[in-house]
Amino acid sequence: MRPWRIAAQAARLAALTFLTVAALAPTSRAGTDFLEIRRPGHLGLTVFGSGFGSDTYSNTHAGFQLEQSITNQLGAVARVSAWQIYQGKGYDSPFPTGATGVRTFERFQGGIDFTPVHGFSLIVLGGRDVGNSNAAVIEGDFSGWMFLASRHPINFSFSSSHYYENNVTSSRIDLRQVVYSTGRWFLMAGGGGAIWGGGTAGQPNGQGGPDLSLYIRELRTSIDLQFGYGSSHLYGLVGISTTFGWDE
Amino acid sequence: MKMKHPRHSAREASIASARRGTLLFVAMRTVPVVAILMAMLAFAAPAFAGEPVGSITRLTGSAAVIRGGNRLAASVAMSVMLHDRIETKGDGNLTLSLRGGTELTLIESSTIELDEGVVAEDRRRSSVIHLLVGRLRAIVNATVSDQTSSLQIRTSNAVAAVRGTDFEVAFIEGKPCPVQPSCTRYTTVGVYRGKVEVTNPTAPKGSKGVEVTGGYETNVPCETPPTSPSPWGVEELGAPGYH
Repeated sequence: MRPWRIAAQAARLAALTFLTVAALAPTSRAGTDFLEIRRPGHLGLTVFGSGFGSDTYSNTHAGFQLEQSITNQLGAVARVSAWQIYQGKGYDSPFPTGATGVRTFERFQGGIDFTPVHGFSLIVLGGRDVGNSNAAVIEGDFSGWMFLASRHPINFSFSSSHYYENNVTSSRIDLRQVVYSTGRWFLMAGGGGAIWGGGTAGQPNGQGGPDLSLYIRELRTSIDLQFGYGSSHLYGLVGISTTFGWDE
Repeated sequence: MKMKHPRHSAREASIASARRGTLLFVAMRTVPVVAILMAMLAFAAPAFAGEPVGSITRLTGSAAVIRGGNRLAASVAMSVMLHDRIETKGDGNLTLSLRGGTELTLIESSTIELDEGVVAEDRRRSSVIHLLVGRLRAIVNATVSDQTSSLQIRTSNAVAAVRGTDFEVAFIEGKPCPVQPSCTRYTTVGVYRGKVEVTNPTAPKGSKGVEVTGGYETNVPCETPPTSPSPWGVEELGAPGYH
């Protein structure tokens, strides 16, 4: 079995585990909260930007995500992002080749956000790239907090995408723990990385390294850093996101 | 007629003199003690309705003070009295300095009532604030010994009791509680520094409170006990990631 298929199956397993946990959780009240319309509704906006750099692959992208609640456990999600790929090909590139020169595209995605248990969420998105990349893309993002009612909760996140432009499947995995908290910010530390393969990427590729995340509570802003080594050689990844929310 | 023995007379005179001396001594000692007690009472007396317990020191947007059924437009330097109800509008942000040094900041669309106030000029301070709706940040002056100052912020389902600290309480009605979405009436208490003891008086008997320290928060949904403290902001962050 090809390794990227293993990654895809791991994603399915994670989703299945998540749904099982959700179904068994005593506090989920899945039946009522899933169907009960959330009143008042909540509209969330996340603005984000991210950059990846290594000697073989570099890109930046920025965009926004809108989340509209529907029921207490279900919401609708729309995400728009603009991508610039400067050189090479890497874990989140939809291009079949790593030609030089800047290539740009916009990605339009829509889907659902499922929150069956407090602290767990699963976003499933489908969409399309428009521009130098012009094909469908599907994505699943899972995030789960463990030991949430403790001084050092742990977050496990798993994000998997499939790009139909080059038929590559790419997955990101991060495990982070809150290591320090003040009234204004808290710091998370951990490790993570990516594995991708299939399509034009062929054999499995991987990269990984330590994660550092700073959340500034008053600004509702998160700054995430990762550096490490892998198929793209020594790399650095930085992301920043800010959230806004309105009750309707 | 019975004659008094001279020795008896001298003794009685001596006793009488001693009693006068004792009384004088007692009186001399009592007067300062009473004076001190009166002074303490004067300085540490509970504030009564109609007596200023503080003043508005900062105001942005619009806010109102409701006193004895009358609605007054809030303004900087305006005195606030015991049992005043203070409301901020959607654009309002108001800071109130209570006698004794406690500073309260009322965030937009919030209402508080000053329920009780015992204030001393030197050390002892005690205040009870009722947060009816919205968010309130309280800074209890920590320059005075933590053991002599206290503040209680009450919502309809939580009591946050503090000594010398900086914290924020929010009472939210009509929105799903993050930790229990079926509950739409909840309190959150987040602490910048110091310690806050949080209980839910409407929880089943025997339920315990929690102690929240700087950097942590607790949620109090409906009639359930406060949740174990977690890092302040994790609820807002939701799902971390690189998008």
